[in-house]
Amino acid sequence: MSDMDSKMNVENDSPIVELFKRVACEPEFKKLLMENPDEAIKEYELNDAQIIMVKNLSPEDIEKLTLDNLEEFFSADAAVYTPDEGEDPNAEMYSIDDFQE
Amino acid sequence: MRTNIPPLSLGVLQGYLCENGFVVITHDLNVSLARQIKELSKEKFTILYDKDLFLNSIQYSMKDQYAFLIRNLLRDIDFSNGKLVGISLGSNYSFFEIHTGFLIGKYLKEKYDTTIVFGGENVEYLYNFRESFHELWSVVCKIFPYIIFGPGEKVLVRMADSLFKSGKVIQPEALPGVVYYKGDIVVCNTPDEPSLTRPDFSGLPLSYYSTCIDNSISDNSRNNLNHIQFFKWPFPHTLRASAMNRFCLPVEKRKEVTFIPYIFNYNCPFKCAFCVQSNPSRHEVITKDPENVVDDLAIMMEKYKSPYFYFFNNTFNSSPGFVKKFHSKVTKRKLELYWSDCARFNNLDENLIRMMYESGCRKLIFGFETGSEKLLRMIDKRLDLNHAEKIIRLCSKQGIWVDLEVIIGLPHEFDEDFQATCDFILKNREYINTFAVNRYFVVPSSLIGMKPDKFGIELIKNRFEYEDILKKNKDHLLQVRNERCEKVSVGNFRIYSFKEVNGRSVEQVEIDTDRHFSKVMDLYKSLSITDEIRLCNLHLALKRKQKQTVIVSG
Repeated sequence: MSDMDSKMNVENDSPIVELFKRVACEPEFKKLLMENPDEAIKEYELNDAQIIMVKNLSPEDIEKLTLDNLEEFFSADAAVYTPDEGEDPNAEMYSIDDFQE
Repeated sequence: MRTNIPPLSLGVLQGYLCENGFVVITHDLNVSLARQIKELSKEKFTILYDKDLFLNSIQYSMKDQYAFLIRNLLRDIDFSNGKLVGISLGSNYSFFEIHTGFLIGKYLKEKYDTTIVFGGENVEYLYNFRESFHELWSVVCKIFPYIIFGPGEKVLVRMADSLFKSGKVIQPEALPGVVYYKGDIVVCNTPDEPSLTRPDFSGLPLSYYSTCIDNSISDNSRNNLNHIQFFKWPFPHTLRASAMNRFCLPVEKRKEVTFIPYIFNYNCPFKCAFCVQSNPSRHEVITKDPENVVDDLAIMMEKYKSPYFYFFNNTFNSSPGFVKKFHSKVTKRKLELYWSDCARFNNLDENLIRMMYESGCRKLIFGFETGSEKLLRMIDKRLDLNHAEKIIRLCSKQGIWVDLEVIIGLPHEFDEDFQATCDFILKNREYINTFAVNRYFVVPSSLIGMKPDKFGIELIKNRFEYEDILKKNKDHLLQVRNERCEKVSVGNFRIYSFKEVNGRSVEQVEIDTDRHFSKVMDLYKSLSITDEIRLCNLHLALKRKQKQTVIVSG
């Protein structure tokens, strides 16, 4: 590994990813997050925005989480945007019909 | 692509024309197009990228396939009383917009014999690379005498004045910014100065651009989720955030608001060599008086019932005096507004940062470019990295999120220079919200583009022909995947590239830049904002209806 590579070797799994992997794999932890989110997240270094958004997940949402869908939902690539790549003509319009009430 | 703000350029044009007593009807065709994309398949629009069909239709008579598309696009608009029509060719190097714009002009000219004026950022792009687009220019200049580079609002008023008062059209060569042929060469008159007018978005479908916020949030600290979603997060993640609120919040908590775009200074006092602002013919800085700026803000807050603004200035802090006066006016009038803008590190200090926060600033975007001292000197950035670090930390401490613009691929950017950029970001990672990665491309009208030998490079011009660019645009529309299964990217195409004198070849520069780009994207993914956006995606995905699967058994 070059110097540049080792300096760039930031952690592969961030605290959020670790947290949700645990949610998907440990039923007890999933239950704790639903019932007492403050307790569940206290050992993870999350920033204020992340804490708010985790706590905004409903128990029904948390129940749906599995390892399979986590990989799809939680892609880091989907969180990336660079001006260089231009606009995505398939950018979702988010029709209300696609979403549950 | 869907946007979350009304079109600023249309607002400025309408604002200035109305101020001068004209009746203006403005249409954002993106709204019509959004409807049409649902009604027609994307394939129907691919004819826009047929060069010969397009040029033929402009020069001679319009082909039926285009007429069908254009008629549909314009079907809700009555042009019968329009003596003067302005058409924007759009921005972001989009040939979808450029070709559609010209076709609309042709259609209207044939049907109504009306005077057509073209403008928009893409005129500058086409003009800058006029050698690559000479076929296009040779046709459009023959048919359309009024294609304007730069601010167009004063030109439109002059033309409208002349048309309506005396029935005469002004000779195009007499107008600022007009592009035309002089002999065999495409030339351009010096662009006009902007009017600094307050934008007027009346008549536009504001609900199309609205953003859904959580109305139950009243906290004005850094924990305000509305501020996080719509200032902290960069576009286009703001669209996801709005969707998340619209579909995940209970009805009583949802509120649709307009984020208002506004610009009140133009041109940059600095002449960074990679930037178009380094062209010696650029005008000096033009800034609206802060008292008038605040008057505009108060009027727009009342008119659009919104405290949220995105400023699009070159730099908010054009002078410390401006910042102080702005702060004084906002606080005296007790205006509660929130905004983001671009800024420069140079003249900022703790006091000015505090004033900016108190007057509503929630995010600043800084042109950082590179952490390499060598490259900063080369581009004449005049940036002290120690001072930059101090300002980033002060902004963060004050509650202002800091975004950086980073350029990868500048001439002579070797591994150690790139590493210096990464080191700076890594060192200050805790205080940087996010950074935008821009791959360097030669802008012909920049200092590097005009005097490449002074920067130790030779330019390779016209790497891509007009037809190549059209094909890439078409592939992007159809989302064709290349052999590496990546979406074909569009953007600026880097029509000019360079090799280093006694140094790297074009190919080696590209290989090194690709490598650096890939590494910096890994760094980008490690920022905490990435996890916030992942959480937003998670919210949306969990709320999506399960797709029904029907299993048929025999």
